[in-house]
Amino acid sequence: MFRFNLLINQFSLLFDLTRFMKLIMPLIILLFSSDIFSQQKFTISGYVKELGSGESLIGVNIYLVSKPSVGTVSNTYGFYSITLDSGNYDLQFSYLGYTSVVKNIHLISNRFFDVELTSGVAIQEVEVTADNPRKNIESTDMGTIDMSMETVKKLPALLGEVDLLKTLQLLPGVSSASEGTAGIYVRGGGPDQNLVLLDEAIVYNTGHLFGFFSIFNSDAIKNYTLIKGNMPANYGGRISSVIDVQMKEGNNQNYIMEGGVGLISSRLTVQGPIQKEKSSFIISGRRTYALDLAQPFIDKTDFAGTNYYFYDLNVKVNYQFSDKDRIYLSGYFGRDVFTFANQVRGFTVDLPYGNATGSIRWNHILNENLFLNVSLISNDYNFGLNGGQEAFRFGVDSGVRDYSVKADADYYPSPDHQIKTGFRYTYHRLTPTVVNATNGEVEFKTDFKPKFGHESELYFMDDWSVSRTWKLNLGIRLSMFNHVGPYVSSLDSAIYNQGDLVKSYFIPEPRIGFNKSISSTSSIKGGISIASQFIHLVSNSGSTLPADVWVPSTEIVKPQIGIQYAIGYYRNFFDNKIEASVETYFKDLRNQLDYRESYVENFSAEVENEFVSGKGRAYGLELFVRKNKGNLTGWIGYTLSRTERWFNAIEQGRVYPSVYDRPHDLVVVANYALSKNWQVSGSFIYASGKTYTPIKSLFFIEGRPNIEYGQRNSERLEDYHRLDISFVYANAEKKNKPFHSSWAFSIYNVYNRRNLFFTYTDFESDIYSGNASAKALKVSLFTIIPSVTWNFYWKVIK
Amino acid sequence: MMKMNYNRIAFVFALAILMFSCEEEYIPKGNAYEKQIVVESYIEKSSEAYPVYAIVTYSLPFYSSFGIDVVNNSFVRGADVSVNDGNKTYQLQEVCLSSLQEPFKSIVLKSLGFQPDSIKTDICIYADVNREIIPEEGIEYTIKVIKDTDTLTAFTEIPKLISIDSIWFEKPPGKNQNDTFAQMFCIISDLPGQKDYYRYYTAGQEEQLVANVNSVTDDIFFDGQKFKFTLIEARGPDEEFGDNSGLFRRGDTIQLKWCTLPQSHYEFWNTLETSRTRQGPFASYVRIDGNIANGLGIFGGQNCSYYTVVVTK
Repeated sequence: MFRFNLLINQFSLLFDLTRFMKLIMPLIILLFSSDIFSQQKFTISGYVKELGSGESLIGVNIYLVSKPSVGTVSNTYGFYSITLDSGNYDLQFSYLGYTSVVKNIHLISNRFFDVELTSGVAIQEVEVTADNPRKNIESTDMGTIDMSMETVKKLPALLGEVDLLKTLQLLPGVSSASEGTAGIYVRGGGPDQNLVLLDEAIVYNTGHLFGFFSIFNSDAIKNYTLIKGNMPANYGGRISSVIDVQMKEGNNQNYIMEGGVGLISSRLTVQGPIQKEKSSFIISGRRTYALDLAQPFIDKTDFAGTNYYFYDLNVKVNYQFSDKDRIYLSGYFGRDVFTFANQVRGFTVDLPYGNATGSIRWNHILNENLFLNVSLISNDYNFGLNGGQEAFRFGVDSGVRDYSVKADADYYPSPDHQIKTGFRYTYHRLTPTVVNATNGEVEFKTDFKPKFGHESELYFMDDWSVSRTWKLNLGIRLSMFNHVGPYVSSLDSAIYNQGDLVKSYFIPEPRIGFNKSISSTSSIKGGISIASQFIHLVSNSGSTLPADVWVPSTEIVKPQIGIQYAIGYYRNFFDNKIEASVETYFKDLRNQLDYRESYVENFSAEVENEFVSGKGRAYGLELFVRKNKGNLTGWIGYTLSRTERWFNAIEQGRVYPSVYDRPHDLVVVANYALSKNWQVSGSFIYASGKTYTPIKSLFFIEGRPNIEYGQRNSERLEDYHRLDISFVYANAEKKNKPFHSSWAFSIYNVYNRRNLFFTYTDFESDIYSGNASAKALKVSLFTIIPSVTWNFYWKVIK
Repeated sequence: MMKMNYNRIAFVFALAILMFSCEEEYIPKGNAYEKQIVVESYIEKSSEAYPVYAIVTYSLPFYSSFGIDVVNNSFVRGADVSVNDGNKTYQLQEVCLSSLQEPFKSIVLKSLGFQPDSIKTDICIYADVNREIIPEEGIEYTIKVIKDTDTLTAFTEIPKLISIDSIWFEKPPGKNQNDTFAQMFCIISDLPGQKDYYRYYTAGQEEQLVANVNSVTDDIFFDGQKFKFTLIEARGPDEEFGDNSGLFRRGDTIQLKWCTLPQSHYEFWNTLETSRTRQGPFASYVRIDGNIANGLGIFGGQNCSYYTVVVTK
């Protein structure tokens, strides 16, 4: 009965959210009625698309040429809407890397039209235009960076594998988990505190090969945005950052085949119209083959059968079934597959793991200034380990599975207000590490049950131009999490059956940001945001690993809370050719999680009983200078920061530097067009070394040395620095031909810096024989690594 | 011929990708060093138990080598070491090898589990020389070590003995199915409704018993059941892992020592053995969970049984 009531409550909540949406819209309209009815106003709306492919363009700036401060931005689906007084206007559509379009509009009634922009790549120019050149000083966004995939593809890449997450590491406030890996820390937050979205589906594991490569196939990605500052109210569930990635929709006019052949993997993407200009598809795949090529050799060894590879498959279909309705189906499936076989011992291990996400989204234009999107989303991350030796077999499984429904409305009542509101409900199923084994007829397994949770969020946000010099971004997000059974309390041994409510959390998350214009070239921005997180990943290693388990908030594990205060000064120079900013932030982190001291992985205890809870803080200063125009483009970023944690159960509450602490982080990125055919790019990174826990002393037990560790993270490895360079050759004269190709030559770690990857100790004893010795060794992973990748593009004109 | 070339290319190709790393030796900073007293003491109930003894040493900074002088100076001399069984306190006597004459010296070393031939340092221990302490199941024992202003204490108990029901050998799995080596197995009957902890050692006929690198387990998977263990031949600390590691040579005579431990003793070995093997790029340190208050090390009770078996041919 209780379970039934809970179900009713959940549906009631959903119903209430829907009802709230219905109620709130008229209220919003009333709130801004003075704007609407005081003068004769009309709305211009439509979609912004790429000419030749029909791909919708996200984040296009649309503004009045005569008054650039009056404008709007296209949303995630390329929709724009701007309401103006009746009159004549020149409306400019600007997007980085595309030719701007100016539309002269005689506005005497509502207008709905699509605008097509031409890609700079398509017309053989290096950098055609910038965005609205004053966007960075006019918006209320802080710590928000959009980056085009064209920029990403120009940069040097480890082993030639273009990786958008590694490109993010080149931005101030973002650092890598460790050498060569795609895991990222944003402003002192942990890897699990980043909300990574792929077409709105949460991605729980972003890495292949222990994080050395991200799961994002650059050919399938259209756009991505990093939000490291004040998180807008339409995002939530994580306390550190947002990485919002959108897949391409597929060319709705021509069939395109493109791909690349690299040292360790190859890619192939096919896209084209299903019904011209109405619907399209894209299928994109990537697979590694380094060890496949080595199989003939491996088969002749005692390790025959050993292999490793990973693959990704992105699929997306969209259909526009009216001017106001469009539906998208998108999915991702990726796996790492590691097989180890020892023929001598008759021992085998299979280690498959990976993500699968899927989303169905329906766009509907309710009216010229109200855009609605409804999404059904599923995602699944599963880790498995199976193996054995003759009659002994074992298996380990863990994972996360979510089902979500969400609705978002974008409302544009006037150029002074851009309102977003919506809700999201997610059903979580989190499987802890479950071990089972058989030895002949004997079977044994751990009896841990999956944990279940209902997560519901409701948000409202208004980006409000209060006056000519003041803008506010006001938002509120209401988050609720219900942990439900089956569950056995370790506090009072209470038994909860399936669906019984175990623990409920409700957290209001206000978000506020402001922009105070100082002059036509400078502004001050600031903000405070509160975010909560109900799903956690606690790693017992220096980086996250595939086997790490996501756990929900329960009566033991409290939701993580992050409060961020930020303020910054933004200034453009040389007629907006160079944009610069200084941002400073302070993050107050509560209910942070770590493993208890002396924790050793075991399958005999609920992992939540091995956690300790504490607090943290991160603060810093970020300088960023970027040049987007001309033959020479790039940026310089510098971060001065500290990140600290303290737990009562660890070293009596001593405040210690987090493993994410990087006091100094300098990045210089540059791209230069050497000629029409050749481009050269380089990136230089200098960062403080990682913290580590030093050896305090050695002591002897049974005649063998053992390590007594000192204070946690009280020492620091050597500073990290590295220079990468790439050259891209593309014959400019062939760029408009149906088939063209390019070569990317990359050199990773040009001056062969031996950056520390990890350290270890090696002992030789017996101590009582008087011949004992100890060695400390440091290991550098990547020395200088050249690579080459061939990319091709083949357009079949239909 | 072509195929051969292809194989070579593939092999070189794979190596080129996977073998970029390099390593070099370095001396860790010594900033964190702090001298602490270390106690290693066991109290064992068994027919072949050594007398209760304690090795008391100082922890050392990270040297690149540990010469005889360094080791000799690490022994804590002149400490007051005692064991209490709840009724009576027993004083342990300090014994240094340099003060003993042969053959008594070798007898003492052997009785404490050391190989006389390999000992070159002047080991000093504190021992119940007269075997006054008679270890008993279920009794809580306390050790106290006083050195100058430092006082170290620890508690332990001796759990109920769970001995081995049977031991046998089988052909090893995989390609090692030949007549030279065999895999050892045993069955134990775990006690139901309580947490039990186990540790085992193996050795050749005249060799010193050694625990394997992963020598302890709890009964999470087999509480209250008859359970079949695979027993691995213990490797020395510096022995490389080879194709036949862990297997026993047919025809050899093997010693096996099987012990039940209290939880604190198990936790110590579980964390220590994990700490020793927890190295690598993704590893984090493990702090060894000893039970010595105000110091490092272990005072561990154990209840053991000993077996001598011949590996079947």
